[in-house]
Amino acid sequence: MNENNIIRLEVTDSTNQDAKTMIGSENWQDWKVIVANSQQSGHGKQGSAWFSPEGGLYFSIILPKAGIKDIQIMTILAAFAIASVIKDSYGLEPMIKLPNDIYLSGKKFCGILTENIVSGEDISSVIGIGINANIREFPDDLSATSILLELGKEVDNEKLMQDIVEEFKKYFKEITN
Amino acid sequence: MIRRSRTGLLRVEIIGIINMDFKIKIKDKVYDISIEESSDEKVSIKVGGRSFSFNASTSKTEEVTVSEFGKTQKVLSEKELKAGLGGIVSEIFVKQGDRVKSGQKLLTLLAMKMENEIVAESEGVIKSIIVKPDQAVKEGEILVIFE
Repeated sequence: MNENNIIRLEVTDSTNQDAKTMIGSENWQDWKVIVANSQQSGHGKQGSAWFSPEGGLYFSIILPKAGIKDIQIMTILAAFAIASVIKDSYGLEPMIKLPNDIYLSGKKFCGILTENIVSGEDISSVIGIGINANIREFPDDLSATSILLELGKEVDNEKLMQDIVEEFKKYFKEITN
Repeated sequence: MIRRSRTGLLRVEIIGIINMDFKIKIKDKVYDISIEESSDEKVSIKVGGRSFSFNASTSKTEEVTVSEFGKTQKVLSEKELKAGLGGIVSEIFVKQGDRVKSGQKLLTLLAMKMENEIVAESEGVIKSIIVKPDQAVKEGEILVIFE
């Protein structure tokens, strides 16, 4: 990935919100990625909170306008891309709960939230991905796990993000070419 | 079972899990798909030789609708903003009498586990807002009327 296409933040409210704000601005580029070390207001669908402490991987991708009628397929493609990377890189067995959650050992470790800005026929899309990568502990009320807990060792968040973006790009190009 | 409804929706009905192999063609590329039922109500799907597991229930009919995306419908009257697909109105950011700019956020519609910010296509004044927060709307339903 081109480093110029990545915006790195120490902390933010929500990388999806940052990405949506960026859409339409001078800095807007297809495949721009916003990544943060932690989120203060990370959320899933319908505003549900996404536990986002340091150690996790939180990033959003601004998608090119591909004229795809079924945008929801993007969420599913992202799920496949993430599961594929997790399986190939770490030998874990992810389970996809369609369309936007991924589990390891029966516990959620990844959530995907696609957000669209719709102006008549014009649609801009952002895919937000939250992965419990190197998180050791979770609140008692969360049935969650992390790659660290499943693997027994830390993973390289930077490599994980880049692998996922590249895998997703590959799928994206296959269905849009 | 996959069928296209009169409204243009592509409807996928999972009416039971059976083991099967089939091909799916996206654009000009053909993918080999293999579906196998495994233990614990899990289903393994192999795409091009790679395997993924899904949860599934064989005890009831599960229906998943994959819709052509819910962009706002091309309006018959330019003064009406209609829902492109069914969903739940989660937030409304404007009120009657507001003058809105092009690109200004009007409301958020939750549909198919996606959040859709509906923004104004052009400048205008809001005559009335037909929907309320948490209201379920159907495809084609009027959301906002402009003066």
